Amino acid sequence: MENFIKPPVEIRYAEELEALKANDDGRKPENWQLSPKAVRTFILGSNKAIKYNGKSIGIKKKFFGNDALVERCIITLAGSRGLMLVGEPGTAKTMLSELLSAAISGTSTNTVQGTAGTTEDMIKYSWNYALLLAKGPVKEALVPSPLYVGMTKGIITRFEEITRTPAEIQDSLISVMSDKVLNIPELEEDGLVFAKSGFNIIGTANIRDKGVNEMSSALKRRFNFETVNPVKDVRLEKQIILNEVEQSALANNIEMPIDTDVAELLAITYHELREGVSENGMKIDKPSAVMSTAEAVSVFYQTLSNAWYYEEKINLAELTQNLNNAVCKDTKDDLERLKAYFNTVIKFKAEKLGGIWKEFYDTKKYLK
Amino acid sequence: MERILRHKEIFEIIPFDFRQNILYFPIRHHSPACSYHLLRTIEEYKPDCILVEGPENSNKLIPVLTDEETKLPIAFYYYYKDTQQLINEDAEDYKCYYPFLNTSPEYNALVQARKRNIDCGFIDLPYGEILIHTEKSKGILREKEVSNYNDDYYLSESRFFNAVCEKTGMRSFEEFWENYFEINGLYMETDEFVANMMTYCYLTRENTPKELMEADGCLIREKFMAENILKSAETHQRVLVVTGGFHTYGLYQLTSANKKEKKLKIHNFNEKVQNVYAMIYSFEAADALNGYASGMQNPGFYDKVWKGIAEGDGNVSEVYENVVMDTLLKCAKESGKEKLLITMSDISSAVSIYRGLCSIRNKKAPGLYELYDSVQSCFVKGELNASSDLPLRILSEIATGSEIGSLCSTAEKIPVIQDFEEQCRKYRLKVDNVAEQEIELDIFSKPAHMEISRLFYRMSYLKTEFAKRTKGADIINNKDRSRIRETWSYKRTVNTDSALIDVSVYGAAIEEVCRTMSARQIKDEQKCSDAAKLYVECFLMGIDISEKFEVKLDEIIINDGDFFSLGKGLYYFNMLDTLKKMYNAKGIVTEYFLEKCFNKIIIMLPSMMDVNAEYANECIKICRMMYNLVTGDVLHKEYDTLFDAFRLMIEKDDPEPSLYGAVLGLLYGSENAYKENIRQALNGYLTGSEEIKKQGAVFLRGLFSTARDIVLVGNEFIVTTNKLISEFETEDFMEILPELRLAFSYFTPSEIDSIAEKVALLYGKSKEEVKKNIELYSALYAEGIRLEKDILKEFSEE
Repeated sequence: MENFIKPPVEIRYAEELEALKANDDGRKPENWQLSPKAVRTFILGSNKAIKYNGKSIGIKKKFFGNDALVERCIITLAGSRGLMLVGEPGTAKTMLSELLSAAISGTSTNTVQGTAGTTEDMIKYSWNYALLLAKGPVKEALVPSPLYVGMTKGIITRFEEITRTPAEIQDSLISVMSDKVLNIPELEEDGLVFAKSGFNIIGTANIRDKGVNEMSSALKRRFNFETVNPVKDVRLEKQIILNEVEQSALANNIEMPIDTDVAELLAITYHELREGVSENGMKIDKPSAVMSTAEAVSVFYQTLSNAWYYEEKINLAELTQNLNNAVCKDTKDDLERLKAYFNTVIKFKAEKLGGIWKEFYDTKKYLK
Repeated sequence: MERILRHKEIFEIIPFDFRQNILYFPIRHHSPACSYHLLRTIEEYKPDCILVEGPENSNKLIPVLTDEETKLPIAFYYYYKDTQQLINEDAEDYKCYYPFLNTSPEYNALVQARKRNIDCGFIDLPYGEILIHTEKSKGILREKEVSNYNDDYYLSESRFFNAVCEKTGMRSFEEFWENYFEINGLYMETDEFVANMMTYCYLTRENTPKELMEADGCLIREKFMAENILKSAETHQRVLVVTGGFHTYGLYQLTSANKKEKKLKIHNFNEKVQNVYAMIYSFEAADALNGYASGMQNPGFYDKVWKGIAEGDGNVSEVYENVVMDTLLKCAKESGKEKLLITMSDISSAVSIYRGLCSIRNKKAPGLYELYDSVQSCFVKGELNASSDLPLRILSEIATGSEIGSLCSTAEKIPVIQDFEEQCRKYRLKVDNVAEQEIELDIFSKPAHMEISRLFYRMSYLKTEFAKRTKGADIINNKDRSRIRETWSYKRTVNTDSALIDVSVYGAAIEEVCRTMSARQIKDEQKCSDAAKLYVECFLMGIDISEKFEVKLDEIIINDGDFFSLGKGLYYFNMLDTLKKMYNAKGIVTEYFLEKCFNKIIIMLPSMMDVNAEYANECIKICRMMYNLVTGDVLHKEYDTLFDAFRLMIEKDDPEPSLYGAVLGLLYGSENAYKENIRQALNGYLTGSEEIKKQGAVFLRGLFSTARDIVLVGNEFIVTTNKLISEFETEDFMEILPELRLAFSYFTPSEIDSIAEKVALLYGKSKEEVKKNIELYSALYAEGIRLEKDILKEFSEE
């Protein structure tokens, strides 16, 4: 595997996907790479290893916290409706959509990235103007969008951050989703692109983030909605942090053991700040910043890479500074809230449990 | 899981062999699959005796339960009064339910016994005996499930269960149960199903500590049940024993040991101490989600499954698919009624979702959990939260079910329930549905409405949770007294019937019960306030007051030395006096008691002048009420006595400032000359130390509560008050601000406007100019809003 900062899912888990495909005897919807059951196994993992090419391949669990949600997503994609993953930022919606696309269509990169500046031609198709001028409106001059590609190849198109796109632009999806046909009037009789089996759309949307738009009822009706909530179980959150940091470290040749105690400390810290209450029932003033698992992973990875390049081992002062930078973004009040958290909850843990919590508490001077 | 369930050993230990003298059939309460296989077993085994787990003293109710006229759900309602303190020193009353649904294997077994005309009976210890053998906070004495006879919690709380759920990838015990026993069970032969049940229950038992089983009375119950089984086996050839699966292994061990055990001795309680009644029940109450962990949840859904099994005539393969589809359609229809747009496309998408999930989860048929998943995916538009989850809530209601049972005509009628039902019929109150009803009562113009109101008050007094007044005069709490109509919401629940059964010993009719209970209650009262409140309640209930009651009330007033209790009593008697005139009621003595209370309070009044600040408000209220009484018709003759007492009060040293202000205000109301006293008092506060000045604000609060017109007449008072306020340092001003705000809250908005105008004039401004110059800092405002929110949140949490 080449060294990418973040290799796409189908490359990252190529071996698992191949092994599953080779051993998949379930019924597959047209153009699906794997059967729904095998897609489920790919995302939710399996206790049994699969024999492939003389090797025993273990299938790791990749999405934690809600198995039923994953099953509903897979079944939705096998039907005629699109799948809309909604929830707070950093709840692994994108990761889940990548996993689903990679397992179903073999690629997770056929993606429209929604922004305030997304236009209808970025969603449907645009033109290579040099060719358009030279040859007129012919297929050759057409620049296909990910949606166009999805329809013609019969694969999943991912639409990231769909609600960042203006509502009227979002609505250009309605006819495609209803009739499964894209009309290109410029091509006259060749202008109808019919979606091949296997085509579907996975949208992701932050409902409560700043700068998001409403979604029309007409478009909502074309999707099944799945709400992805933050992981409620600290054990699972720790596991996610460990998995993700391990993967990123591997991809970037950081050969350092991942400290499970630090992962646990970070999981508890993020969990408590997100829920506004500590393990022992102390009330905490919640920061306004997003306290997602993805943020926790990023804080840990930052600390790990710093340790790898500049220090011998994980430095908790560095961790605290990264936490400080991640939490205190929008308002000064968040710094005060973080300090208050250290002065109450962490102090209590330091006194009661000692060890890593004491070390963590001693780094509070870095909160600035 | 399949591997575990194919475990044969336990099945070999407890043989499911139709040649046996005793055949054990393990069940889970309300399980359709257990009922299905139980009926097949009865068909094949042809027992000549069926024994069922349940308190032995409920045998007399089997004919009622199995009568064709009886419509389920019904419940057996057990009570035990621990007058002999056999449980603990508290001598409390205990009660519990044993619900029966159409799906209950116990019910189906007993119906079969009736149809086949064979012996049958319950074999467990009587309820009181179970309680006596249960350690505190264990088993049936667990606080959360105090009213639940059965013990399914063994099946769902064992450590084994947690491991099974994790291993099978199920979200909950209920989902695991539905898949492996309810759905798969229908595709199995009976012996395979029973083997799975036995294995599962045995493993659960293995993971339950023996100490726990001992502490919650499980082992002694099994010993008693085993005795009964062996006794029946002596006289019958084929005894079928239907018990919760958890007990099967224990019972088998005891009955097959062939060991002579010492017979268990049980108490012989009379019916006043221990009894059982059959009562109507509802799906809502039976639903474990609603608080009674009486076996399987979602009784409405599984009742339909059971009906499907019965109609299928042996063909059960389509049952779940059909019920899931019907429930989905009903959910869509009900959502439509709530103005939610559920399209055909949503429905067809939901169908493909539950079918797809069924396949991906390797299930033989979709169940309730696939149905929930499909509704969540296809009917909920947008993020799942409290504002969008209506379809799921509707589905949950459908799955719970709304049916209420009824008893056959031969069932022993509890007279007080009969009286309640007759009155509901007479006044056309809808009580055959679980939906809450609302009724508006014009109590002054329609005699029937007055009677209904009285019935509701009686039912409330009996704590039946039947009726709740949502609008109308609240005499007891002195709210909305001017309303002449009453609006009530009412709903017959399980608690209604059980509360009536509890009080049935006090009489045959509701009115009689209330009269007896109020007469008993007055005997125990010691405070004038409580006794007078009871008097008002009796009036609202339309209960005639006996002479004995009045003598006791008189005695209580004489002996009560609590100023505030007497003050409250005075309020209630005053209220009754007004009501009596309004209702033109006869036979209610109010003047006598009013005078009695009044005279006792008068004696104590002067000594209250240095009352603790926290009681001052209550004291002021009493003073005002007394003032109103002597200036009205009722106690006019006591006018001079009261004002003499007030005069004595203001002469006291170190008075509580607000009470001092209030009494001076009342005196000013009778004689203008007291204006000078008020001016002097205010000046006294003005010229005092900072602390004394602060008391000035408290004084004002008291004064305004009784004589706010003093401010409105002329300018003099405003100038003095303004001086008092303007001399405060900012910090001190902030400290007394809440008091001042409270003081000025006695004025109406237009009075405040006029005061503001006068104050503005003192500073050479018009009121418009004052208003214009209000400057509001957005940050301060935002902080205020935030604070208010936090405080409200904190209050609501408390």
